[in-house]
Amino acid sequence: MGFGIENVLNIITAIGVLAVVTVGLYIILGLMQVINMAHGDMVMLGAYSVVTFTKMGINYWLAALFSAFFVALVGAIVELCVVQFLYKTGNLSTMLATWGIGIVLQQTIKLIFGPQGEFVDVPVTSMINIMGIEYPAYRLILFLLCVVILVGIFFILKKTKAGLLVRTTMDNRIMAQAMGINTKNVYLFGFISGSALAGLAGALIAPITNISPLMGLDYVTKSFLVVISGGVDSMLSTIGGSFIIAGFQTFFNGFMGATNSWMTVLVIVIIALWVRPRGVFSKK
Amino acid sequence: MKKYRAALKVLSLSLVLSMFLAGCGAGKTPALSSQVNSSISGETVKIGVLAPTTGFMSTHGEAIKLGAQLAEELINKDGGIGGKKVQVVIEDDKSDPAVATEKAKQLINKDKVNFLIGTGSSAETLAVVPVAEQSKIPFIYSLDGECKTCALDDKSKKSKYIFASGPTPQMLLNNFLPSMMEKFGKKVYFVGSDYVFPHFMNDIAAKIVKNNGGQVVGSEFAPSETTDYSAIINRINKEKPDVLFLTLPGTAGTTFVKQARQFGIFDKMAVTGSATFDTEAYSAIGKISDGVYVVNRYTDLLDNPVNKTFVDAYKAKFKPENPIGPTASSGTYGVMLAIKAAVEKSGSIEADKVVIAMEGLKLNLPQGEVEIDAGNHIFNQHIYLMQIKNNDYQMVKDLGIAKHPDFEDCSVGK
Repeated sequence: MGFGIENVLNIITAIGVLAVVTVGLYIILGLMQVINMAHGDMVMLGAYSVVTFTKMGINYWLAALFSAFFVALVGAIVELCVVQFLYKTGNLSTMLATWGIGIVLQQTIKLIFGPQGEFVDVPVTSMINIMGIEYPAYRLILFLLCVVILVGIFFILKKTKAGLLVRTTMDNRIMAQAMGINTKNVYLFGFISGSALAGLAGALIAPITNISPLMGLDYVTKSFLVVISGGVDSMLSTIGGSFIIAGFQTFFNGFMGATNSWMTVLVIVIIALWVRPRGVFSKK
Repeated sequence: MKKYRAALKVLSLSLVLSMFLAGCGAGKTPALSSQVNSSISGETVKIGVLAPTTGFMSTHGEAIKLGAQLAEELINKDGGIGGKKVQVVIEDDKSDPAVATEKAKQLINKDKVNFLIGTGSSAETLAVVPVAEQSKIPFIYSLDGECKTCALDDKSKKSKYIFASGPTPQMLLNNFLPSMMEKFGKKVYFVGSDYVFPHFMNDIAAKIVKNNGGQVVGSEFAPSETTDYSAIINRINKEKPDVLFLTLPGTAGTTFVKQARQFGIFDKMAVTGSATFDTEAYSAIGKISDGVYVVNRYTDLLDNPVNKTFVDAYKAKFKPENPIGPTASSGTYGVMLAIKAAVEKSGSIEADKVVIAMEGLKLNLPQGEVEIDAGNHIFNQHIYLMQIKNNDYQMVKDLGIAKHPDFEDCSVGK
């Protein structure tokens, strides 16, 4: 079959990108059992933010950071004004509320920028020679950044006090409250972090994908497939889920048409859910 | 925990199911409407406009909306259509054939429009064609694409009320592809979005390439919402074609071109395509499409008085940052001028009389001379070879007036 290096590189960069796009959703879902339907739109906000900041003349990497901060701010507003009142009323209400917020975000961006899409250039245009293959440098950098981000989150969760508070609350909210932890603030922190990560992901993928008000839809579907197929037990579940969705799709696309590849992946997801309904990479 | 798991299960099942169902197209039979909207609502001629301002054709949808608004304003300033005011009713069909069907019925039955124009993708257009034909409302669709003007029950006959303003793949490519192969080489690779228009386009292009001594070294299709084209780009690099022909309309094209550029594709081969480098998508693809060759029915740099009026008025009203494209100018504004001419020629807005007036009608539109073909209801029009340079679509060569052969490859009624 001649399965070359470039296919392998495509697969791992695809997994890395999807994992970083999804991890924000995972944190909110795993921590607060909130299904954030606005997740894809926060990715979209991140992309538009980086477009705006770079147009103002700011260096691309700084602009990506600013975008993360900006979307974090939006996330804070959403949590404080809408989501925090709905934790007790169950998932359907948070799903509906965040779906509505997503629509508001899409339409606001469309009103400001128009529907035709924006453009931001890659910060690095060169190609790197890897084992005889020329590969775009930016994709490799993106992959490395994804690894850094995922390792960073893992580290924060496992080794810092803030991470401990988050994990405690994730495990058992009532017990955590009983021990004096301000779970309200932990939830706020979680939602802000999830939003910031979505924004950062959006900023980082902006140079390699189309930027339009509805781009979030493609990513929210893929992100949900990741958490559904991978499970929400830990970060590893998210990475595993990304492997299933992005990894398999790119793998199959290496020798099959794109439509057939996607269909195959969906069939795999159905089978996986049937066999392991809590997610392939979950503990049960 | 239980509630959350249940919700997650429902969500996952519905997500996966909906993705499968989304693939099963929208070939549903519309309800028959026997109402004939020949009455004039007061002193107004109503034109229904289906503009996909959301969804993957949103760049074209926005152009349709603006073209219609400008045409309405200018035509009314000029005395209207046969003395009657023109009113456009614009609906968003969300680039979705099912929504297009509903909105078309709404425009016909509720708003009682006299004419229908617009639609973006071929899938949307095909959904509206039977609705318009059965409701006896003339429908002139705005975008280029394969022939859709044959009768629902007989592919060798024209349908009475359907007209195509845009060129078919044959019209666009018959002279263009040989010119490109002559310039760059005979090996051609095709990529397209996976639905009816790109398939038709690429199939016809492949035939023309082979008939002119060329070689098709690859041909593949990907879903419109694909976010990662790296595997396809790798295969293209491996095959080393002379010409890369892309039919990736809307946002799909932007994603592909951005990624392809990073893999160095633009340095290795001549890149061209249909609908991918549409002027309407220019803001998103922008400067990285410099040097690309494009074939289309219009560039805003065309030098004729009708175009000058249009471009000046468009720039004054909308202050566009990017070049003005065929969808707004030829597909919408030009179409409304055609309706005006046909109504005034027939002296009536009765559909049956107007469609007869349209056949053989010769017009001077912003895109140049146009004749509405009496045989197949397609606008016979000039085709231009252009190159994207200096932020606009520079004219390289006028390839002459193209006609479509009868109803070849008509996709209606399949």
